[in-house]
Amino acid sequence: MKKFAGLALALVLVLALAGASSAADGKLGTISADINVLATIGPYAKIDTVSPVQFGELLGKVGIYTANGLEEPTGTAEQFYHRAAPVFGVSPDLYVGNNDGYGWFAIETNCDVIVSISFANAGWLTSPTVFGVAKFGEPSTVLAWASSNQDLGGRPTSFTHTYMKGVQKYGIDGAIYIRSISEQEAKAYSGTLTVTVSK
Amino acid sequence: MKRTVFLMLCMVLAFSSGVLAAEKNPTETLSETLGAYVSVGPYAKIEPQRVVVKKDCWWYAWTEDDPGMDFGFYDGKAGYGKAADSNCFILETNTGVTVTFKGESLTHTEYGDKMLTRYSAWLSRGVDDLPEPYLFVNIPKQIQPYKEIGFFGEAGKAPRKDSGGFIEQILFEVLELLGLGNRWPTEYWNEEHVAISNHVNQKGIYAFQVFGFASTDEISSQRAGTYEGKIIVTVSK
Repeated sequence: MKKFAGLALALVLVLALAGASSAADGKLGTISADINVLATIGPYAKIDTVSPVQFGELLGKVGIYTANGLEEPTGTAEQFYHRAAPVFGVSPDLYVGNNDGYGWFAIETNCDVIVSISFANAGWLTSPTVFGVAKFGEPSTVLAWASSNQDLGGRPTSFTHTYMKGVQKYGIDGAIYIRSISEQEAKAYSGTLTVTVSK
Repeated sequence: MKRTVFLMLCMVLAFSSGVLAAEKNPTETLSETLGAYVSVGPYAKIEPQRVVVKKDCWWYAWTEDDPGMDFGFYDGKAGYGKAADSNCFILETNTGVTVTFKGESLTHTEYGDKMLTRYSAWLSRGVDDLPEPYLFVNIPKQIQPYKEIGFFGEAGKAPRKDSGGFIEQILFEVLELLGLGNRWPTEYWNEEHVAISNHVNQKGIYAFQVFGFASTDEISSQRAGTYEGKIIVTVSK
């Protein structure tokens, strides 16, 4: 039985590819020979746990509403409306309120990748909406934007995630600009943010 | 001048006759023994060999290919393990020797990241000339594992196989079911291990097989790219 297993082992493993090697002969002492071992790993990535962006219940008043909460290393939450207002082309003074409902996703890769974000607004408000992706701990640097009913003015919708060991987390802040009270009917809305990783 | 040379030759012959021990009447048989001495030093040759089955016209034949151990392509998924075969080293020696196996982990050729790598050395059943395969059952002895020598490789985690290739998984599961033990290495090593064979006690031709086990760890533990390692076999008296 053992012999059979040995034969099977040899048979299954015998089909493989070639590499370099060296042989040696000589007076003993010590002689040695070696075989090179080869492998190739392809590019691979995983998008891990995702958490939705939660704006909460908006007051309905004209102005800017945000869902943020990504913290600076100092532990203070960076207010997203400062960065959203220029995209809407209005003054930050229109800020009305915030819900600490930032979304986030985590990715792990074995190479540099391009991370893109887009927003499907079917079932969403008609009010201009923007989302900004930032790395955890660096909320003031928006790496990529997504929007609904809002021109981003050439702002990037993707960024390069440079290879790093371990799982890396990115946060998504959001802002909605209600331009008039009647612009939005009072009800619940939902949309879909899509994060895409590509080589 | 000629006369002087002739006289000297006679004198040399006369003196040298005294060292011949046998001295009898030349009509009888004379014999004497004298020693012949030589010493052959310990000598050995070791070379890698790769035996493969290749199609030869209408039939398949065992033949030699370039030696090497190739794990092929990993897609980068975490914990993906594979086993591979080298498949052997042929040792010819005129004396008993110690054979030591040392292995370097698969290492990224550019960045130095390492894959989880271990090797296993076996004494083969023997060494054959390469036969024609009859229904693939007459496998050359040099690729038949016979006696396990042990695992070797660098310190660290053992290769994973939680998402390994189907064939390799089945193979090792079958071996375990056959009572041959779990052939997949599992222990964490705090230091480098070498495998030492003391099976070669006399002159002869021997073969040793080396199997390899390599896996990814986490996705980002090792970058995409080409990895190279090395198996070094040392023969010493």
